[in-house]
Amino acid sequence: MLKIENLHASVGGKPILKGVDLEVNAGEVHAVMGPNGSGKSTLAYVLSGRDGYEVTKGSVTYAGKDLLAMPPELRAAEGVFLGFQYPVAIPGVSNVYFLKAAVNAIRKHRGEPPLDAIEFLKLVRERSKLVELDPELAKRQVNVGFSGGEKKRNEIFQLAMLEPKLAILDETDSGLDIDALKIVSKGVNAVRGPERAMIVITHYQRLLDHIVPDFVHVLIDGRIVKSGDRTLALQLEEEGYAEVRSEAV
Amino acid sequence: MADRLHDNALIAALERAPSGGPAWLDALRDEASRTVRESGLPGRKTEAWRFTPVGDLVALPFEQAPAPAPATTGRRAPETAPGGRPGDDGTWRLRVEGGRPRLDLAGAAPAGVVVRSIAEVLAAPDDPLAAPLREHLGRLAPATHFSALNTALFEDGVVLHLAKGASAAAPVHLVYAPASSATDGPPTVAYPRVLVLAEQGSRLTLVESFPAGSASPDGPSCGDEPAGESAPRHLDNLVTELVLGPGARVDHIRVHEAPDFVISRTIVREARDAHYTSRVVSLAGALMRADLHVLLDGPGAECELDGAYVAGGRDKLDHHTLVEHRSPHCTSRQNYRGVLDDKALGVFDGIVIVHRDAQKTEAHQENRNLLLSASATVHTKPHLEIDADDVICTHGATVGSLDEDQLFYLRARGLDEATARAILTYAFVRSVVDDIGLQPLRDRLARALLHRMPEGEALEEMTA
Repeated sequence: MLKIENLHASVGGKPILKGVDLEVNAGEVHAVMGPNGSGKSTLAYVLSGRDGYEVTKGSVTYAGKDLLAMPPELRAAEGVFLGFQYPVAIPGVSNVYFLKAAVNAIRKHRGEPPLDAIEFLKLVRERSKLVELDPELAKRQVNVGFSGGEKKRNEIFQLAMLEPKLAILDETDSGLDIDALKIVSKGVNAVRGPERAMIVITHYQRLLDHIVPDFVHVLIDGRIVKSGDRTLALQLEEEGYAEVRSEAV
Repeated sequence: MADRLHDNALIAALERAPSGGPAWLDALRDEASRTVRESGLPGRKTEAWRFTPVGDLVALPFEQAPAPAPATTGRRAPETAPGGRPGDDGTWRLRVEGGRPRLDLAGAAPAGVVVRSIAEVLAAPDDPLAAPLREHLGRLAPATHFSALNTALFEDGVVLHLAKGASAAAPVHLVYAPASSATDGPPTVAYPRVLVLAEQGSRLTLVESFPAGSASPDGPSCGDEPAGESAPRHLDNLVTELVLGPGARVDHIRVHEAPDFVISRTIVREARDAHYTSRVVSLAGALMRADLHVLLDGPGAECELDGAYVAGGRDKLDHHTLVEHRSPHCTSRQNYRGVLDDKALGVFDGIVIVHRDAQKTEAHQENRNLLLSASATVHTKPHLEIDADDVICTHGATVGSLDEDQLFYLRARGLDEATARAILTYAFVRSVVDDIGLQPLRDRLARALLHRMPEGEALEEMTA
């Protein structure tokens, strides 16, 4: 589904990604772990098309297409979803209003008719349950006055509403207490499926106790230095990144 | 002095100023005439008018709007008559053509409020409103420049009176329009004048609008026509005065959608515990200048002044507020939001004065602007003058562009860039409209606001 080859990217002229290779197939969950500043979030932003992240070398092929040539909205329409590390508050825009516009923009791209108000609200009720998000919260302004946990649940709620093929979750565990982490993980697990791939970016192995990955990759200094199964995450937890770093050299 | 600010059609008209009214009014008019002859019209050297380009105005050979063809006097036209029918926005409408209220075209005023023509009251010394008119008309604050021209030259206007404890059964909606005969010929000027007397504990919602299709009696359209397509030919120079008795509440909504010249001054005096709200929505104007002056004159008086302006093309939308805290324990809140595109000009100039005795004042003032084009201009000047020491005052102004984080968030969810920009722009200004209590009017204004956004129609469709 996704093939990243020798990806180099800079931010403000400073090289951050220095040759990332990664292949993700439908149904797989890949964890990308790494210390601060290793390029984890840059990888998420490059894949979702944020301005200011300049690809200097390499390629990303998604469902047979050149992902890097697409604007962010087209990537979303083609089924790429980014769960933000820091979800943005948007005063004046209600969650429901915004999500309806997003759902129908993506449906339009797929050649499907727009959902009417009743179908849409039915879907909201159904999917908000997955992350125990109060449906009243869905009516509020996007992330305005939401707690850290509510913001992250709102991200996974949006994931469930938009039904992407590839979900990239950028440090979804950051800022969550253990209860919130369990709820968010439960929501993520509920939307796992054979057609859907996920890249779960995290600093800590803790999240991976709840969202069990098929593969774990260690990103250090802009390169994937080691890949393995979930036991690699446990090893990282025991030994820290320094050990892997020295092994890789 | 023979410069254009002193020698122009507007000032020349003072030669023909009305007289022969009651003596107090003649004296008021004489004084106003003298004031404006001496000062001339305000130019760039007049501080409060520094950013208001009146150049286009003073060059035009304005003639005062002729009286509308008299309708059947003494008889109310049927409810279906143009201009007087109950509006589709839930308000009781009164058309003010060339400064003259067309009560002949309007149905009966809502219960709880007396609506009269100023000229009629002046002509009848025994009228119960004659004394209050004499007491308050032109007395709230000294007339200057354009408001002095209005005082010297107005021929008619509207008095609204709410007796103690009265509550108007429906919002009163004054729709300002050129006299219907003024669609060709020389440029016209009108001097509408409004006096609202809201006695103790009374309650009124007042809407004043300058509709886009002002020559048509069908009232406002959605305002999606860009301003400035044809040269503006009409000036409304309006003065609205409101006197709020103790505990009175007036919700005042002002809508500017006319592509012409509109210069207005609103003066409000609030007694103890009165509450005044102003929501100004400005969507067009070759030159729209609105001055709003609030006097908090009794303990516990409050005012909320909100404004949303969306200017495109060569619109010039200019809002000035002056709030004077003259008593202790008063509260004022101001929140003006502007969106400026193309070559438009926006101005917010807000002054809060806290007088020496006005302890325990709370005053907040905020102005935020969004610039969508490099050729658009905004001047923002929030200003506090505080002579008391036990007060809470805040003020702030920002000028910026759309937030890149918000923009990316929306695009990453599948909204194309133009739509995402439209959503964020609309979100920036909509709060002012959302706060309008009158639902049909709120919905209409929300639509009008949406249609002023780039991609607004697509947005409405998508989220309908």
